[in-house]
Amino acid sequence: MSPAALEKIGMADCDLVAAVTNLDTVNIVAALTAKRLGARTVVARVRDEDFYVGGRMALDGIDVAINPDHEAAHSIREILFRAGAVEAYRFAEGRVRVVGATVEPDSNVAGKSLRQLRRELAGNLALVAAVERGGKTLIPNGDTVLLPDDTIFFTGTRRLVDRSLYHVHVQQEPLQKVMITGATPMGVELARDLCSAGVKVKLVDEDAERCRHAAEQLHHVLVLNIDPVDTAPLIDEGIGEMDGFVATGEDEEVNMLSCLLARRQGASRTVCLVNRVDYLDLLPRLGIDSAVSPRRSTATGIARFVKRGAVISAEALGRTGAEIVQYRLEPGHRAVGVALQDLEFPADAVIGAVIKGHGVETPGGKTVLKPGDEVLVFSLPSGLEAVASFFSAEDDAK
Amino acid sequence: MKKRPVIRVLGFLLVVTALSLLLPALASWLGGDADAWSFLAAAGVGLALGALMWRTGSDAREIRVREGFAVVTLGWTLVGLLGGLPGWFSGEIPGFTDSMFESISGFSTTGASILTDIEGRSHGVLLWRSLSHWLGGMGIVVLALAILPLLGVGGMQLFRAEVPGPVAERLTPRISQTAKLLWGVYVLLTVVETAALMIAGLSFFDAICHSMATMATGGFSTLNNSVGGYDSAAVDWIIIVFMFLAGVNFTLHFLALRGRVRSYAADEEFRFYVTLIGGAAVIIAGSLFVVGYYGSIHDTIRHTLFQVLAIVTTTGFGTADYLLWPPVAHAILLMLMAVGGCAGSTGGGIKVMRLLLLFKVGQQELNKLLHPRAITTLWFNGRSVKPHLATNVLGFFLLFMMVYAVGVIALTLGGRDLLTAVGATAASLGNIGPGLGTVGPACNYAHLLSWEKWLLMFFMLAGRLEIYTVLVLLLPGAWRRA
Repeated sequence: MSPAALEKIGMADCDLVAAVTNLDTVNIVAALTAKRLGARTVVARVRDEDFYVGGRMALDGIDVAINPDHEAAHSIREILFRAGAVEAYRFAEGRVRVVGATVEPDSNVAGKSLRQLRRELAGNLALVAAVERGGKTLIPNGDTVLLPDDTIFFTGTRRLVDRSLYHVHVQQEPLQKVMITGATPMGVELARDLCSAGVKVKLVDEDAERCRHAAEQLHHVLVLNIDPVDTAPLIDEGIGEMDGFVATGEDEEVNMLSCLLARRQGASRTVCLVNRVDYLDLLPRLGIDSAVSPRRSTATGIARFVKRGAVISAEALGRTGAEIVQYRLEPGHRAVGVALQDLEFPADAVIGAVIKGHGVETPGGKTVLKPGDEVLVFSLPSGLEAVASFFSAEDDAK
Repeated sequence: MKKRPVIRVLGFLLVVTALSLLLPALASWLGGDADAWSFLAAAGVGLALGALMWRTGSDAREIRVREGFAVVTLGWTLVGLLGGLPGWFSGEIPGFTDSMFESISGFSTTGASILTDIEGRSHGVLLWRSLSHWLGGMGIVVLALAILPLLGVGGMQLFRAEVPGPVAERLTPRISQTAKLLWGVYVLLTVVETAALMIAGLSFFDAICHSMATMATGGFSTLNNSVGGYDSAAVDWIIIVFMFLAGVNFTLHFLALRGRVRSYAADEEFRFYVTLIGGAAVIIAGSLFVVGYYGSIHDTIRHTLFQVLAIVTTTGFGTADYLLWPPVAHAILLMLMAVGGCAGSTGGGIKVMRLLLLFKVGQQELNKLLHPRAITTLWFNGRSVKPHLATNVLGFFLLFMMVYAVGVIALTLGGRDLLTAVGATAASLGNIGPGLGTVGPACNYAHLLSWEKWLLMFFMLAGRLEIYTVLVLLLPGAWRRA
C-alpha cells in the first residue's frame, strides 16, 4: 500500500484504479494515492456515511465512490415500487428502466407470442429485450411464446415499463406501508429513501444502540427495538398488514426466517437480503419474492467502469451471465447512418433502447442511429465478445 | 470557583453602568430638572467601586463555566442596585426599596413599577428607566445566544452552533464576537422604531424611551397610562410590530438581514410563536366581539393584538385594562404570561422553544403507549435532539413551576388574595410587569410590603437569568475551588 509500491506496479499509467477492499480507509488512501500518481479514473468503495455529503462523495480526487449499501437500497426500492418486478436497473439517469418480471400463470400474457401481444396491446407494451427461462437467457423474437414462470425483461421509459408490468402481473395494492428489519446502513438508507417517497416505514432491529442511531437520522420513521424473529411483538406492530417487508439484517438465515414470517402473516411483498448464491435460488421456492445481494450490487457498480471502449454503463442481467451494456456511438462508427434492419448486428444480442439527447426511443427496423446516440445492448454470454468488438473496433480503426 | 477574575468582570460592568448614568444626567440638565447631580453622584460611586474591583481582580480570560454563573447572576444584581441609587439620592423615587425595585425591574426588562405619578418624574429618571431596560436587553441577547449555550442552561445548547463565531472553551472570544453581531441588529431595530414613532407624532424623547422599552421587552412608559395614554392607532400598531420582532430569536433577524429571509419560515419555534399569538388573539378577540366590548372591529383587533403581544413577549405595555375583559381573556393571558418570547429574544418567561420541546416529549410518550418497543428521538428544526437536552428542559420547567409555587404560597401566606399573588409572581418571574388583581395593568406595585418587593426582585432576576443560573449558586459546590 505504500506509494512507492503502488508506483512500482505501474499505478501511474492505469486508466482505471478501483479500490474495493472491505476497509474504507484503505480504499480512500489507495484511490487518492493513485490519483496523485496520475491514474486517469479512480473508483473507491466507501461505506461510511460520513464521507458523503447529500449523497455525494465529499473527498476531492475520488472520481467515483461506490457505496454498496446505497446501490442495494436503490434497487430494492425499485423492486418494491413495481408490483411483479424481480429485478430493476436504471440507465441514463433513470430515463431508461430495465425491469425483470415473472409471468404469473393467471396473467393475461402467458401463452401468447410477442407478435400477438404487440398487436393486442399496441403502444402499451415496452420492448421485451430478454427472457430468462429455466436458468437460461434467450433473446426473443416475434414468435417467442411467453410461458408461466418466465422472467421477462422490459426496456423503455418508466411509464411504458410500468404500464407493461400492469399487464404481466396481477394488479396489487399500492405501496403504503413497509417494514424493514435490520438498522444496518442499507436498512437506514432504504428507510430514508422510502420515507421521502411518502411510504410509512417501520424499522426493526434487535440492538437498542443501533436503533437509537437510526432514530437520530430518520425523522418520520418509526424505529422499533424488536428481535426480527420474535413473532408476537412483530404481529402487534402489524407485520401482516405490510405492503412490503424487507429483511436487511446481517444474518442471512434470520433474514430468510423473518421474511417467511412476514409472508405467513400476509405481507404482500417480501424482499430478503442474502449473499450466498445457493440461497438466491432457494428463495423463490419459499415464496419470498425477491433477493438482493449487496455484494453483487457493488460488483455491477464497479463493472460499469471496468468495461473497455465506449461503454458508459453495464449491469449483469439475471443470474445467467447475460449483461446489459450501454454504449455511446462515436462519429464515424459503422452503425451511424444505417437503419437497424440493414445493420450486421452480432447474434445473441439485441439493442433494447436508443437514447437520443433527452429522449428515449424504442428501436425498430427503420431506426437510424446518429453520432452521440447511446444504445442499450442486451447480450447473452455467448454474444459479449462480438458486441464488444462491434462497438470498439471502429475506435481502433479511427 | 476563581473569585478574582469574577471580581474584575463585575468591576468592569459597574464602570460601564456608571458611564451610562451620564446620559440621564444630561437629560435632566437639558430638561431643567434639579436631579442631575444624583446621577453624577451614583456614577461616581459606580466608578470608584468598579475601579477598585477592577484593580483587585485578575485576568478575565480565566473565566470558565463555573465562574460564568457567578458573573451573570452577581453582575445583574450589582448593576441593578447601582441603577437604583440616583432615584434614592434625589428622592424622585420614594425610599430605598422602591428605588431598587424600579431599577431591578428595569435591568431585568420586567417593567413592573411602583410609581403612581410617572409623568411628574424628571427627564433623567424617565430616560434612565428606559435605558436600564435597553441595557438589560442588550445583556440578555448575548446571555441567551452566547453565554447560556456554553453554560449548558435549560436547553439553550440547541443554539450553540447557530450564531457564527469561534467555538472555544474559553468564554470571552465567542461572547464578544456574538455580541457585536447581535447588538447591530438590536440597535438597528431600536433606531427604526424610534423613527417610526416620531413619524407617528411622538417627541424624540418619548419615541426613544418607548423604543428602548419595546426592543428590550421591558414595558416602562413615560406616561401614567402607558402607551394607552397616546390613544393613537398608529402608535399602537408600530409598537405591536416591534414587540413581535423583539420576541423573535435575534439570530433569525441577523440571518434575514444577511438576505436569508426564509430562515423565519424554516424555524419551528418561530412558526409555533406565530401560531400561539394567532390562536390567543382569535379567542380573545372573539370573546370581546361577543360581549361587544369595543365599538369597532379594528379597535377589537388592535387592542387584542397589543395586549396579547405585550404579555407573550413579556413587554407589559398597556393600552387597555384587560381585567375588565371577559374571564376567558384573563385565562388566556395568564397562560401566555408563562410562555414568554422565543429563545434568543429579549422576552422572558419559559420560552416558546422549551414549550415546544415539552409538547414533543408529551407526544413522544403518548406514541410509546401505542408502540411500547419504539425507540424515539425528539426533532427540533430538522435535527435530532439529544435525550439529555429534553431532560434539561423538563428540569427547567419543573424548577420554574416550583419557584412559581413558592412565590404564590409566600404572598398568600402574607395575606394577599390569590389573584394578586398569582399575578405578581407570574409577572415578575416571567419579566412581564403588570399582573392580575391589585397589581393589574391599571394599578402598580407601590402598595406591596417591603419584603414582598424584595421577593419579587429576586424572582425578576431568577426568571431573567433562566432559573438555573441563579439557583446553581445556592449549591455549596459552586463556590468551591475547582
